[in-house]
Amino acid sequence: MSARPLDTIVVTEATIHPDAVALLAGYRLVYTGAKFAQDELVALCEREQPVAILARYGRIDRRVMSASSRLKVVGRHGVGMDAIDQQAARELGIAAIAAVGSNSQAVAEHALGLMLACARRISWLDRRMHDGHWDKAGYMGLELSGATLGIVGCGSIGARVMRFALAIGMTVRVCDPYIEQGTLPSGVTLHRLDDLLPMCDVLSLHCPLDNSTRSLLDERRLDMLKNNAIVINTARAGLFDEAAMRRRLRAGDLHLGLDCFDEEPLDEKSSWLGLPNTVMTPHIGGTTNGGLRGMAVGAAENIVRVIGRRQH
Amino acid sequence: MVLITGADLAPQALALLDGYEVAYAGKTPSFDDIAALCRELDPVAIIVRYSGVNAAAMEAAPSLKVISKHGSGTDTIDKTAAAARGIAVRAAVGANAAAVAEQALALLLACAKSVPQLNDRMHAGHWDKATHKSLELGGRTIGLVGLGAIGQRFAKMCVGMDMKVIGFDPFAKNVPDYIRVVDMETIFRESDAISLHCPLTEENRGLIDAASLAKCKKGLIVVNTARGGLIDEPALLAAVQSGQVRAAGLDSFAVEPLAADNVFKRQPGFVLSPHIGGVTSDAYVNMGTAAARNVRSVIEGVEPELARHRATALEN
Repeated sequence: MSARPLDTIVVTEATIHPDAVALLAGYRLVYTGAKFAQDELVALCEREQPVAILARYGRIDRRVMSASSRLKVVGRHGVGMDAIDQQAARELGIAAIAAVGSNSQAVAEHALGLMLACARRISWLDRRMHDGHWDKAGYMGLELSGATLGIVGCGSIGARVMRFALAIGMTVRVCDPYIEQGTLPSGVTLHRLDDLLPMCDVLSLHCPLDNSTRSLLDERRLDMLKNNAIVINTARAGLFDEAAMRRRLRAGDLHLGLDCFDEEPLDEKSSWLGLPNTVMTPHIGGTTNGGLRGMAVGAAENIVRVIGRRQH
Repeated sequence: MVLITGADLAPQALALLDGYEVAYAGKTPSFDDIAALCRELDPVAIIVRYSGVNAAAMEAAPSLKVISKHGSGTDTIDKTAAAARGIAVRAAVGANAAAVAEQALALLLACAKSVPQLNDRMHAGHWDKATHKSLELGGRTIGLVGLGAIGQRFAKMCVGMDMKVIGFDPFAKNVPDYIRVVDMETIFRESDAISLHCPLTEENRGLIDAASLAKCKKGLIVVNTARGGLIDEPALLAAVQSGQVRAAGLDSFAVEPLAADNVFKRQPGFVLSPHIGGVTSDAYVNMGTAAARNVRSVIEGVEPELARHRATALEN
């Protein structure tokens, strides 16, 4: 038995799923907690010299990665890579890997939940009921069966949402520059975004955030949506222009189900508070038992694949 | 003359009644109002949206041949009195099945993901990411009580979400193979969520009560878009408060409208809606056209050509 010191892995979270901890046995895990300043993260990496970062919260930028000369890999807790400077990682010879598919089921279910909450005004009705009202008269829900769903980004999550929607009896239309028509089920067709938008009763975003998708839904494109259309975003803030979206919502002719925000956490001064027809959740689409385990284990496996499993 | 016990009827339904005079009883007619209108107008048909039709109303309309429900529940029509007078009673069976099944799915997901509670907290400026955990439905078991048009439709959606579906229905026919048909004991024992899709009878009143809830898995979700009387409401409240039931999504109640001081008010773990499961714009059209077709098929003895509404969408 050698008494050689254990290599360190920095985890940017207060705690992670025990199955991931088990996979990383043989390494010393240092946790940042759920809230920390960027300078604190840099200082921590300088001090601890981790060989890997398991990244849930915070930005893994060039400063963070440069702070540890031993760093080999950044394993992302989840699939969104927009908070990791991948260009810097490449230049520094550090692998940056997403836990692909790990939370797909959880996020797809959440997107469907928000879609139905908007279509049937579940949150509004529930609040009114708990206040002692009975708003049956004058109520009219949107039936999803027979309605058209536009999916932007038909990867692991988008494809699941497509399956759920087909089981409900929706007509599904897809925009995704990386897939071929032949890979879609019969009856589902592929379209350019500008052609897709005017067709949709519901639009659900499932693409990554990168330079090609930033502000994908700008003011011009938001205006191409039908009156009373529903927009669902469980993917990334930055895919639509928040100010333009809020203008449409205030006008009262659009519904939004939203799980991600330009500024997280949202606080009591946020411009999102009190907007009509807006159902919001605090970026918890992936946080189910299965989703949390999948994201943490996926990240741990990716880390171990790069730096090798250490013996006790 | 066709009397509508409501203030309106979908234009597609009115088109089917071309050639008939149509009169409306308004938004909130009482049984007596309807009887008075029968006396005044002597309709050949009544399309029942709100309230109902009793023996006095039938007595007042000697020409009456058919009472056609704008929906599937005919419990507000005196069927014995109708049979004695040779008046046909028809229901728009299945016309709102998609709407109700989607409401069940909406409530199931709202319970599993705590959407209304999180939304209320968000609009008040709170961010509960660190303390919240959703229930993933994929791989879990849903138990359906009642496998008619609504139950089967809902089953298909649950299978689409990769749930396991078990169902109980002593009368079900042609059950698709993705539903495992079981007894009620199995429903209670194996389900992670239970959704009710059966009519209310004397046998199943209070089906969900303290004894049956105690047999269920801890953390169960209960969804009711059927009839309030299927649930012992105080027992369900106690089960949610104890944590035996994670959350309940309710669209129907023992007494409706729900009283302002009802037991569920401000209770966490309850997602509530005011019996609007069947109320969508599509269901409004479907129920109206089905009710109008039922009127004509009784009076004329022929089935009018199917309304073309949504036929294209359904073929897809």
